[in-house]
Amino acid sequence: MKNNNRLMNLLVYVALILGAAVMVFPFLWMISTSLKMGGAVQKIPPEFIPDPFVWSNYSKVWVKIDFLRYTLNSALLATFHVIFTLLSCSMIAYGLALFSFKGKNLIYVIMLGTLMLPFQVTMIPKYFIWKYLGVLNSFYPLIIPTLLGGAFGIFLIHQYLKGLPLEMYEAALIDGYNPWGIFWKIYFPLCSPALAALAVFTFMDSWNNTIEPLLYLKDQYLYTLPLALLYLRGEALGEMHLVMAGAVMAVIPVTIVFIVAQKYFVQGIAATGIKG
Amino acid sequence: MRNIFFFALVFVPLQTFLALLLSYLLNLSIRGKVLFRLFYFLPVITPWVAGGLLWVWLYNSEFGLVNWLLGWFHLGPFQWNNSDNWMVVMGSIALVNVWKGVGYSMVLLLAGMQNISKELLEAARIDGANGKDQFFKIVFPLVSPMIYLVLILSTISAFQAFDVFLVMLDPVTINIPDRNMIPNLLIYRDAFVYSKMGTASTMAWVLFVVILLITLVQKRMEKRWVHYEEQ
Repeated sequence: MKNNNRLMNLLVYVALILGAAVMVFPFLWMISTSLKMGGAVQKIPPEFIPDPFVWSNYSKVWVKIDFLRYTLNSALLATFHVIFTLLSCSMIAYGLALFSFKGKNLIYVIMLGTLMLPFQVTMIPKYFIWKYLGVLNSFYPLIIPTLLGGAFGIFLIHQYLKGLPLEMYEAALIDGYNPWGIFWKIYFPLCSPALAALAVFTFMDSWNNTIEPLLYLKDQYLYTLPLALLYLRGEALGEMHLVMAGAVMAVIPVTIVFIVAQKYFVQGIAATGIKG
Repeated sequence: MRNIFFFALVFVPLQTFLALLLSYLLNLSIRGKVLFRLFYFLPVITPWVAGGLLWVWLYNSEFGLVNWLLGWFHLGPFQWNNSDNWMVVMGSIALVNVWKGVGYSMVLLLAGMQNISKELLEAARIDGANGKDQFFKIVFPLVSPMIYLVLILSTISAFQAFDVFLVMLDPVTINIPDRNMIPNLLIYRDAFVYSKMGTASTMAWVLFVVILLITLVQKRMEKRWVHYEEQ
């Protein structure tokens, strides 16, 4: 019996390690390719550890396309997205969770319904709205919508607020705070775990978003990192080591954010699952 | 349309099954749990463009690593995302999608499994339930609402997949042969490359209705196998 258990354990580990290898190996291969000489990329059998390490591939990418600018663009957009989403979603959720008014449930249901709507359905009308406003080819179409909140974020914060005691609100009212003050002084700080999760989600979404920048941005100097990578692929056709170097540089920031904020991220996913 | 159905048919069951398996294994008392979870989750956070370009390179028919590995077993070389056979194209892209998405489903299921009380499993063990019984009679029914959620989410994501096709087929979209076309790319191409907004809008709504219908069918089936605890 004991032996049997040990064998089972061993099998579990083998399965998990094999699985992890499949997941992680492409990344190692990406890094390895990014450090190779141009010719070594197409060697058969493949070279796993580059010889020599060609760090200059990275600087070549910076020269070939304006990588710094694209990184800054992405970082700027991500910063705006995170700040605006946190502010707007927390305020809307606060309103929905603590106040009662006519049609509240209807508003809530319609808002959640937008989660079901595929992006393909809304992308054409959205495109026209921005076109008639005359702000295509700028960051406005990417930034302004986040000021209006998003269903996912509102849902996440709303769920969290519902778990907090309502009596605090009454007590603070009696102590002479107005609803606005109560939001800032009490509920906003109390929500910080949910806000942290939302911040991480928003950052990842913003950093990895391909289609929206693709629709709205035309000029190259506005490109974000995903667009820059697509562009680099066209520019450096056949120079896989350069494309991979660009890819590595795009992956590093999100990976760092994820490792630092892993706890919040996982909690956030688990929290959204509660509705299911 | 045929393409995307095939894509969903490969992707959804495979992803759900693997996620279920992984989360079950990770929920056992295992060392290095955090590290494993990190590894499985890494593709989820990778930007699609980076991940897609990486897989285009891995799938490369001459110098790609996938064909080289198969070469050990004297197989190949095969064409993957450039194959003449649409099933191979959709299948290989579906595999990349699984690679990218399995971590997310896994975390959802893991959250569900961690809610199962240890005492319940302990009691079952004392009553003589073996590993298989424990899984099918206790874990599976209790996690089934979560599995249902994962199924719905991954079905919707399969029909909405855009980035992966864009990167792995052709970023400019005009060179994609009809046999490899999927609705999302077609909508995008008609609307923004060919400026035929009308047909594109129509197709977008049709797609929406299809997704809605599939979700409703799944909702119907839910009663048959999903177990909700009485409150």
